[in-house]
This record gives sequence, C-alpha cells and structure tokens, in this order.
Amino acid sequence: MSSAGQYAAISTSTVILIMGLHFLQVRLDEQRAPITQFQRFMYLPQGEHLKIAALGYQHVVADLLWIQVIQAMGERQVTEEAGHWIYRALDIITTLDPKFVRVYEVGGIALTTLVVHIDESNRILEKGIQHNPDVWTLPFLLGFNYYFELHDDAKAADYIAKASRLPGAPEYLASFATRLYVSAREPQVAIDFLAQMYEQTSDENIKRILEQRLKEVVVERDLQLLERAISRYRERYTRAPERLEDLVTSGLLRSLPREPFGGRYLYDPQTQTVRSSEMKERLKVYGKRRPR
Amino acid sequence: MSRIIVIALNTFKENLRDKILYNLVFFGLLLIGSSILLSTLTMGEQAKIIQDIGLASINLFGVIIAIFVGIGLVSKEIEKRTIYTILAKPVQRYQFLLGRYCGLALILLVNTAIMVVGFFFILLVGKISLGSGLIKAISLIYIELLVIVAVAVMFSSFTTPTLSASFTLAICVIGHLTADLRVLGAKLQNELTKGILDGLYYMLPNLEYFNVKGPAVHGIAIAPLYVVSAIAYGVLYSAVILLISCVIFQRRDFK
Repeated sequence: MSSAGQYAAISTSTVILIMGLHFLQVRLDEQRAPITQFQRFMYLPQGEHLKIAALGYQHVVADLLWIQVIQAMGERQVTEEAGHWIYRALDIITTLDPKFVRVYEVGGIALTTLVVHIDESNRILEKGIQHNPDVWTLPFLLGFNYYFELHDDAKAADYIAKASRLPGAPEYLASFATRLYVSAREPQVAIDFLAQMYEQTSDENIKRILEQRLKEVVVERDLQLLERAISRYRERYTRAPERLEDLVTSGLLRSLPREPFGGRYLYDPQTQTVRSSEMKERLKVYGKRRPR
Repeated sequence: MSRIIVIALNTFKENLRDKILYNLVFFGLLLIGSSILLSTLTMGEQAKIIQDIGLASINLFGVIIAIFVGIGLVSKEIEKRTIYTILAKPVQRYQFLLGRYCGLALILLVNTAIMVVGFFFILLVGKISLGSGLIKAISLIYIELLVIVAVAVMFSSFTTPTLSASFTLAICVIGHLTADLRVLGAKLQNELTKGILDGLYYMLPNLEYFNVKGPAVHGIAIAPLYVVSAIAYGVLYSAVILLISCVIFQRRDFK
C-alpha cells in the first residue's frame, strides 16, 4: 500500500471508530436516562469515612456535594425520598466542613418547605448550632421550626432568645422571644430574659424599649395570674367574683398586683375578663402556623 | 555552597526545559472554568467555593510536581549515567543532592507563586476579599511541598523511580492520616502495639499540620505562633530527611 493509501485507511478507520464511539455513548446515556441526578449519588458514604478519604481536600468534596444538593433541591417536584437523600447529603457536607453555615441555613429551610421533614431540619440546625455557636440565624431558624411547625412556643422562645443574644441578631428578636414566652404561658421567663438583656445593653434607646416591653410582660404575667385566680374562684364558689378584691378576701391571692405603668387592672364581671387600664391589647404572637 | 547553588540553578533550568510549568495552563483553565461554571450552579457561596478550589488546586498541582519531578531528581541522573560526569568534578555527593533539592524547591516556589497570582487575580475579579488566612494557608502548602520533595529525594537516592513514586505517594497519603494512627493507638490495650503506633506517628510526617485551607477560607483566625511552629516543623523534618538521604547517597555504590 502506498503511503497515501495508508494515510487514507488510517484516517477512515479513525473516523469510523469515533462515530461508533459516539453512537455507543448516546445509547448508554439513553439507557441511564431514567436514573435521576440525585440517585447517582444515592449510596453516599459515611461523612466520617469520606473525610478521611479526602486526604485534606474535604472542603472541595463538600463543595461538590453541595452543588449536587442544590441541583436536587431545584427539581420541580422534590419527592419524599429525595428529601431524605438531601438530609443525608447535608449531614455529610457538614461533617466534611462543619463551618459551612450556608448549608445549615438553606438545608434547614429546604427540609421544611420543599419537603416537610421537620425532625431532619431540626437535626441539621442543631448540628449547625453545635459547630457554629456564634451564628444567630441557626437558633433563629430552629426556633421558627418549633413555633411554625411544632407549635411549641416555649422551645421556640428559648431558641429565639438564644439567637437574640448573638452578634448581628436584629433587635426585634428579643421582642419576638418575649411574645413567645408569654404565649407559652411563661411570662416570668420573659421577664428574666428581658432583665438580662437590659443589664447587658448600654444603648439608652434600646434600654427604653426594653423597659417598655418589660412592663408589658409584667402586665401579661399579672393578667395570667388574675385569670387563674378567677377560674379557681369559680371552681370554689360556682360563680364569678364580683370585684377583683374578692380574690384577696377569699384567700386566693395574697394581694392584688400593682399595674407597672401606674394604671389599674380592670375587671368586667360580665365577661369575667381582666385588662390593664394602660394597655389597649394583650401581648401575643401575630402570625400563622402550619396546621397540624 | 556555590556548588549547591550552581546545581540548583541547573536543576531549575532543566525543569523549565522539561516544560514543567505547562501545568499552570491547566491550573488556570480549571480555576477560571470552575469559577464561571460554579457561579451559575450554586447560590450565594461562590466566594467560598472558588477559594476552596483555588487552594486545593494550588496544593494538588504542587504535590503532583513535587512527587513526580522529585523522584527523578537523583535516579534519572544515575540511569542516564550523567552523574559520573558530575561527580568526577570537584562536587561532593551531598552538595549534588542538596543542589538538586534546592533546584526543585525553587521551581515549586515559582510555580506556586504564579498560581497564587492567578488565584488572587480571580478573587480580585470576583470582588472577593483577600484574608491574611489565605497567605498563611498558601505558605503552609509550600512547606508541605518541601517536605514531600525531601521524601521523594530520599527514596530517589536508593531505589528506582517507579518504586520511589509509590513510596512517596504512600507517605503523602499516610501523612494526612497519622492523626488517626494515634487515635487508633490510644484505643488499643496492647502496650507494644501502642508503642509501635506512637513511634510511627512521630516518625512519619504529619502533613495535616500544613492543612489550614478550611479555616483560611472560613475566615477563622490562624494563630501566627501555629504557622511559625508548623513552618519550623516542616523545615526541620525536611532537613532530617535530607541528611538521611545524604548519608544513604554518600555510601551508595554506582555501577
């Protein structure tokens, strides 16, 4: 064969082989098509093992897995199964890189919005708090889960209060926490919390706001106290008290609480409700919750 | 001393002629490509991911060069029999060895420096702030490379390139796992095994000391004392390994 002939033969066979290769690749892709993206990584290894195997490059491995998780979250419909996979992947990412705060934040939210896996969302946020105790968003999101998803105001209040003490937290968190404490019927905890905040603040404006809120919570505590006494009075005498003073004369209360704004507690025997003369409405949490 | 410098410069030029710096093209493509690609794939954390990839590539490319050029430093000369002409000159064997080592260290320095310039350029374009942690992390990566080259030179001074490549690679892997060796030892009841594991822990290089990439990217403060201690550890470890290599090389019989 001439050298030109050899050249032609080699080139032709190369082209044919490349075409064959391309054909095969397309076929293989078609056969793999039903396998969705996240399932490719379905069998994720243990985070601890992966960390050792990464030989010091664990942060890049975490990044790559994080990008996969974002793609899985971006699916039009995130199935239950995908939700569990996302949690597992998030757990691995945060084992590889415990300071990757964004993963806890986005993961914690995604696990209650794209799918409703509240336990897993809480677990990832708790892990985040453990490794990043200075980041206020994590206890805030956890508190929000307890409020919105689990309807546990006492726990919600604890976490929101924790968040409000961390650097960078918005000022309204303290106020939100106190409303939650009041809603959880733990006004005394709210008072202690506000008193502590008051001690730690040097800003006069904030001090004034806290003082105002402290008095409001005291009112709420007193109103809850009076309400409890009224219902006990009713149980004992099978009728409602006519005046608040009846609670003292019957021995249910040692004395009537003093209104902190300088006003009085007003009692309506018709509706058997108490209110403060100085506050238009009672302290409560405004907002919706996911129905249980 | 001047002889060591001459050999070092020669090694430097030789590696330049071997087009070793071509790896920088790949580095650049990887870094630019990934930063463009990732900014569309991720949300919010581009800065962290670009820094992670940048530091990891600087580290990985450096380690690859350190191993695969390092193992040939001495054995190639023996194989090509060019070592006879060098040692016939008034050059001590240890001078030859140290010169080769310094030459590769210089190449790695230039290589790392160029990669760092590229990396910082990408950060600048992406308007990502440069923390002092990054400089510390990169310095420690360079020290890690120095240790690996020393290990490669040591193996290269008495075995074939293939074997020294395997050995050096193994040391690199083990070097990142020695902390686990110690944890394992602490769990064992047997005093003898515990002693052996402890011995291995202190004998093998702990390359994890040089890995502060994570804290650097997260902006967590790295104590200057830690950096200085780690650098001192790396330099001392390399010195010991090089001295051992010199002893081995001094006694070696070329046939």
